[in-house]
Amino acid sequence: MAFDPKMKILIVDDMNTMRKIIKGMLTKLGCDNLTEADDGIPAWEAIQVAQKEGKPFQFIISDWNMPGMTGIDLLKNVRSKPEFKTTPFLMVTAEAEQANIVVAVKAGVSNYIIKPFSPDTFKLKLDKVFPK
Amino acid sequence: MDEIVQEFCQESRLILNELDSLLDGLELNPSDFKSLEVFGQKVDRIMGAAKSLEFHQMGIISEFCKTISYKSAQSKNTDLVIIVVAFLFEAVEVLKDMFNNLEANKPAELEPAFIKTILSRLEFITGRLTHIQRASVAIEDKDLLNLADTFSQLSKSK
Repeated sequence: MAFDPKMKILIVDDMNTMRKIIKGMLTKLGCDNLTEADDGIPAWEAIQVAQKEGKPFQFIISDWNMPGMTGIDLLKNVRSKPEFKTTPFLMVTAEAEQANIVVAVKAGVSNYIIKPFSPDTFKLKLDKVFPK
Repeated sequence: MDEIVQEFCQESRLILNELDSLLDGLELNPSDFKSLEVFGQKVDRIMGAAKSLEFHQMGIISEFCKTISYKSAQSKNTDLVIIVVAFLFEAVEVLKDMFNNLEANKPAELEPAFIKTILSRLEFITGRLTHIQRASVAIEDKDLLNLADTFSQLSKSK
């Protein structure tokens, strides 16, 4: 599936500034159907509600380290449901530790990006999540 | 000042106040290791945004704070925590000074000699904690066991 700027995207991060940074990068790529959540718990609720309403999120970008539900637990919840098995999921993390990355890959992450990242790096990651 | 930087300052101020409260509590009860983990989680937010906005000194100091708080939480050593809390108080004050500068439209960066001193103190504490691996939020035990299995299978297949 190729990257479509019209797709419905969920940005999950407990820091408003980080959500704005990511939102800014996506807006520059032409995306305008963006939803924000400040933790894995409201994100998981939003994902399920969107699915019930027949307008599921087509791409999830989530931070790892969040207080209520971590990004890795959100990913596991998402992948536990057949309807979300293939939903692209990009993990944003400050952790370059090998163990974390392996855990995320095993849990079914589509790709990961390590903070801080430039708009160019972000675009490269999107290209990997959505190969043309 | 950019709108995003302004919001970053406001958001970080709230977090820094929360960090202060956590340290106040830890000063009274250094065996509250859970609060040190919470400290690490909160300072991680400032770290990520500071690095992304290219406030390098802020990013480095926050990263040290994160590493030290998560690691000392696992040490279960109250004597160490008492020292760690003193260092973290100082680091939080430094971060506040940086935000004061930013909000006054001055460069966030502080004098190199001063930063060097702060960083050497933080490095000193980090050096006492090198035997503790986890420097961030915990991964579930079962994930680590799965990971051990994966690595063992990989080594067998070589």
